[in-house]
Amino acid sequence: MKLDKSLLSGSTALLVLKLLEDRDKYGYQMTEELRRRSDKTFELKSGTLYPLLHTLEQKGFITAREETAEGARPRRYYHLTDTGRKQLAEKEAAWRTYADAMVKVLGGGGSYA
Amino acid sequence: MRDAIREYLAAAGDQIRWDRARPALLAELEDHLLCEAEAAVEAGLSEEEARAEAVRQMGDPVTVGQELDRVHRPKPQWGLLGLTLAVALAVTVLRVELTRDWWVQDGIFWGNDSGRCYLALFLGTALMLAGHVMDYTGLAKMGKALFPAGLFLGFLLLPNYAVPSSPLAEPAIYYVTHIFHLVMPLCYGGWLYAWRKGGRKGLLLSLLPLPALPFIMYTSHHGYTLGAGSFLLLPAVCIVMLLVLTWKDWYGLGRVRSRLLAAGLALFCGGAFLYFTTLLSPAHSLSAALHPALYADTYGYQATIVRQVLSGARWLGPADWTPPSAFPGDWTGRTDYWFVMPCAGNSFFLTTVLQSLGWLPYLLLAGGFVFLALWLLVKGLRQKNVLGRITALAVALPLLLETLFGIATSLGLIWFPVPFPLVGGNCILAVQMGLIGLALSVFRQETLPVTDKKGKPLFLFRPDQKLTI
Repeated sequence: MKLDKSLLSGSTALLVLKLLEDRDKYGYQMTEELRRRSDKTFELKSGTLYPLLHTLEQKGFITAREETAEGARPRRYYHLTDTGRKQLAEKEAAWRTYADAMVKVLGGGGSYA
Repeated sequence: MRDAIREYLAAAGDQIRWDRARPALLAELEDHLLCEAEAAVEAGLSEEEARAEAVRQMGDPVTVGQELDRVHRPKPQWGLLGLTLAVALAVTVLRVELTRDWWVQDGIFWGNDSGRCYLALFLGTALMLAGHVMDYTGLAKMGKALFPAGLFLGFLLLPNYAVPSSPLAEPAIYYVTHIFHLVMPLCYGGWLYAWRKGGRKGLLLSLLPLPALPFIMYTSHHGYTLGAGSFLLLPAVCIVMLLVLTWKDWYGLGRVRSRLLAAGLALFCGGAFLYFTTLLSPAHSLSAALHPALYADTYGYQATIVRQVLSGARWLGPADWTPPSAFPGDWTGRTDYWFVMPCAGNSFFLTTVLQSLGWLPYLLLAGGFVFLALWLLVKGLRQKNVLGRITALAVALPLLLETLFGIATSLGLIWFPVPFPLVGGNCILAVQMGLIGLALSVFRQETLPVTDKKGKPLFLFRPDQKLTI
């Protein structure tokens, strides 16, 4: 089944913030985890990911720090700030309301939550 | 066959117009590509195939580059540029209008010279805009040279002993002294940056030259023309910069030891300050500042006059105050307000505004200066980039201290008169505006990751660099 990209539009930021909820991650780690958690349904291209990460950083929702492990390449880790956490909670609640309503209208009968 | 990753990075990099942003952004993309390629090699692909697969996974390099270019553009600091220009314009107009019948003495501007004032403002605006687009990271490259060169010139040109043989004539010596006092914190910032992670040697080299600054200002021919606080303000700014950095383990001595050192240094400087203000210089004792009437026939005379002006000040309009026919300590017999109040166009500028126009214009102007200085300082302290933080501090701290001392002076609490900022009406105004522009160049580039947390430059990607998996 081919999924329409527009289904995801506007929710990418929510996904990215959600990926940072439990611990700090670098970009590649985030794309891998999204792939895994969505059963390979969501592929996050770097052309979307990095500009989005940098925009979220400018808005203060996430911060970045550089880390260099022994003998490894320096890497940019992203961290969810308190403001970002609030934003995530708001976006998540809005999404759940939307998804719940969609399921009801489409006649699934069940609740998303 | 050309390396697919290098080609990809070059194509993405072509879309990013901001040169300084490009290396750091490409470094992040490079890491992502190498991770993808490593995963593909583990899955059984050859190195060449893995690189091609990594590039395919990343998407169109032109789109990536364009998106990053959209996010990372220099952010002009219109708000701060506008506010600086507004206060500088207000000060220039007030200075011209309020000092119409003043005079020029020894070539130093004391009175009205409107053409020169507006020319200085024009030059200052040009320098501020130029500073705003400059690359402040040049300070790091010249860090080890600028400060010693500044000290050398200071010893050579400014102190009393140097004046008879100095190649500079008046009023150039006055201007150079003032510019020295404004520029040296920035040079010291570059010096501190050069000794980061320098251990004990770095700390010692940061500390050792500090006493030279008050020495040069104290012995300088124009130290007192600038205001007695000028020899205190310059080292105070440098010490605060040193303390801020030492507290954050700048020299790599360990967090606890660094904080103990910073606390010790702060205590020592506090003690030296107390010694100076109680024993060494009664003119600058707190008692003289708080109770100037007790010293009205000596160093308290200015504060006494200021307090008389204050008592007659109105909300709007000239103060209800007439200069008395004779002042204790008035050695000339002149009683013009600006004569008995030396530097009324400078250290006492705000008193001049209060006396001529009233409390409302005074509060607006003083508020504008405090707002500008605090805005600069807070933005500076929030800087992630260490060199940017040092640069902004070196400009914002003197501006804030000069403003606060200027306000205290104008309220009759004369402890350490210092030149009021942006009141020069000459090249000093232009230099000060240029320095503010340079501090703004830091905020213009604030979204850029320039160094890692150890201060190591992040410019990882070089087009000629061999990439290995």
